[in-house]
Amino acid sequence: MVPEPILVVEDVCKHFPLEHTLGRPGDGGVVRAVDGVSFAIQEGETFGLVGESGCGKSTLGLTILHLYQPTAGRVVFEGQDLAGFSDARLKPIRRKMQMIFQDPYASLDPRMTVGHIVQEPLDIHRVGTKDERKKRVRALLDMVGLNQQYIDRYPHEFSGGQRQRIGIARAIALNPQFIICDEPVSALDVSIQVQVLNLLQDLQRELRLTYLFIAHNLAVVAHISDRIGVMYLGKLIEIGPTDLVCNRPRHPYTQALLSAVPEIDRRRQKNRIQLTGDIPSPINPPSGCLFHPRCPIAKPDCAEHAPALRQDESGHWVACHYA
Amino acid sequence: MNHQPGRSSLWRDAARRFMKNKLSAVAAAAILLMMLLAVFAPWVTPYHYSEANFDDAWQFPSWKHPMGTDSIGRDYFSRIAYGTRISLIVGFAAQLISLLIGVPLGAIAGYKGGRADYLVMRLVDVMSVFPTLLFAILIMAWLGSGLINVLIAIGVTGWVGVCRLVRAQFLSLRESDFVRAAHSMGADSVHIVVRHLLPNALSPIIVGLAMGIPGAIFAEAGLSFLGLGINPPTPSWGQMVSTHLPNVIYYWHLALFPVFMIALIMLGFSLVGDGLRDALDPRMNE
Repeated sequence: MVPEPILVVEDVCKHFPLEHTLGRPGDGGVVRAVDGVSFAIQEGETFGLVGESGCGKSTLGLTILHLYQPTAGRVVFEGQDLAGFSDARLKPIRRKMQMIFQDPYASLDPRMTVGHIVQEPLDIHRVGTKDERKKRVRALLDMVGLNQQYIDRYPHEFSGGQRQRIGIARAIALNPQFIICDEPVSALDVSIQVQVLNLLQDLQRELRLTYLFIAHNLAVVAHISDRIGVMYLGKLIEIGPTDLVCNRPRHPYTQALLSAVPEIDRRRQKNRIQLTGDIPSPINPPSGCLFHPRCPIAKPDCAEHAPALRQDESGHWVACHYA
Repeated sequence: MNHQPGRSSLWRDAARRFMKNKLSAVAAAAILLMMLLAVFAPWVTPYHYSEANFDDAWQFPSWKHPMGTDSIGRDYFSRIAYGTRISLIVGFAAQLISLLIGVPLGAIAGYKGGRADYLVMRLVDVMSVFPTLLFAILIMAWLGSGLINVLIAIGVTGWVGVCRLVRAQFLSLRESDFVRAAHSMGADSVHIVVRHLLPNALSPIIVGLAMGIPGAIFAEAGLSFLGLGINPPTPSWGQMVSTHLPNVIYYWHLALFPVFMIALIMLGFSLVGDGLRDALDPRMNE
């Protein structure tokens, strides 16, 4: 029997209405940042989400947490449909779902000390006594590899990697089940990226965490994920186990994306598939398959019918008529 | 053990950075001196401010009257010292009124957005249409002169700036990642406003306040100069200049000292404001 997934995302859309100046709603135009995304994450799994910047991956993350109300669709967490939940009703659920942010400079309050930042989630949920919280903060700093002496320092005194560790300590403070990592390493130096990725993997093993790992760097996502979903213009176009998506990509967009990953060994360098044209605007998406204007294998009917995600025998989903 | 609340060290750092700035430190000392002068005026002045002595009228500065005397022989130094009281009271109290109106309105507009923001900002627009001094004159003409009415007139016209400032701060802070992080952890609006928005908006508010004080002082001086401010015989620097305006060509000291004091107090507060702005930014590390 397949176990119940921890998170189910069903046909989730997030459209932002275009606002007229003077604060009035615009003429009905919308930005389709996320447009009908469905997938499920099993407990203990790392689900990687890749795509170019602007494809809606971060918006999807924020929508799953209901920091943005989904325009349509359902988010089911541990069997609970979160649709229409108020902030007050979401509070116990947010205890189990946390987020690590992309920019370690913007995501830590510059006016709070490290100790207070890491303690904040404990304060919000009134966990334990004051002393217990302080002890927990010290333990958390240990877990993410930060010296306890730093507890009274301010975020600006730290490097990007250390700041991201503070953000991770904050995210695991409440013993969550599920963490959304929104590009947690893309703002860091490459040498630091590995350290932070290893830390995330160690913590996952120790704390039995489930990750939704969002990134634009395929190599990073492939390194950490069990399964990968590829997003293009607000839609998922391919989902599959990491080695299938990376070694036998089926969607022409994924193939192009993979061919752009640089290889140090020149003999392994694949033929680069050069895509033409720009990403279309999510305000006026193309008809039919969203990728058809840039697709090397597009046929006339691609402009008419949008392909649905179809699954093959190996658990590999792809949304393409000809892949 | 050394897990002191972070706030205290934040303010300690700010104080240390402030004192490092020589110009602001000197300005702060000058302001402190004026405050002492205002508080201890009855003890440091040789005469009462309304004590007339017609034999000593129109005196130039001398050992007996360090700043001379006016048309009815009142000691000018005593009047200047008591005038400090009015200026400082007006500066602080008017800013307090502005704060009490401006901060809540700005906070609501910036945090809630939407309709509340629209209403508050239209009110601000309406207020901004009137030239401040003209609006204050209007209120004074309606309420009549007197200290309390001066405070009301300046406070009611002055909150617009504070309101705009707080709104802009809240508007940008509301979208910041650390507020989003707090929200994602399950924080409610009260927590977000009290723990994140206000502390981060505090230093611009303090700086705005320090910068607003000279404006309020100058507005009082202007109103009193026009005869709409402080009622004689209570001395106010603006009123003193205006009373003796016809005679300043011969008796220069009657204009020089009050004007010098107005300039000094305004410069002082402006420099303190500058120093505070730099000192309160924790990212400014020597």
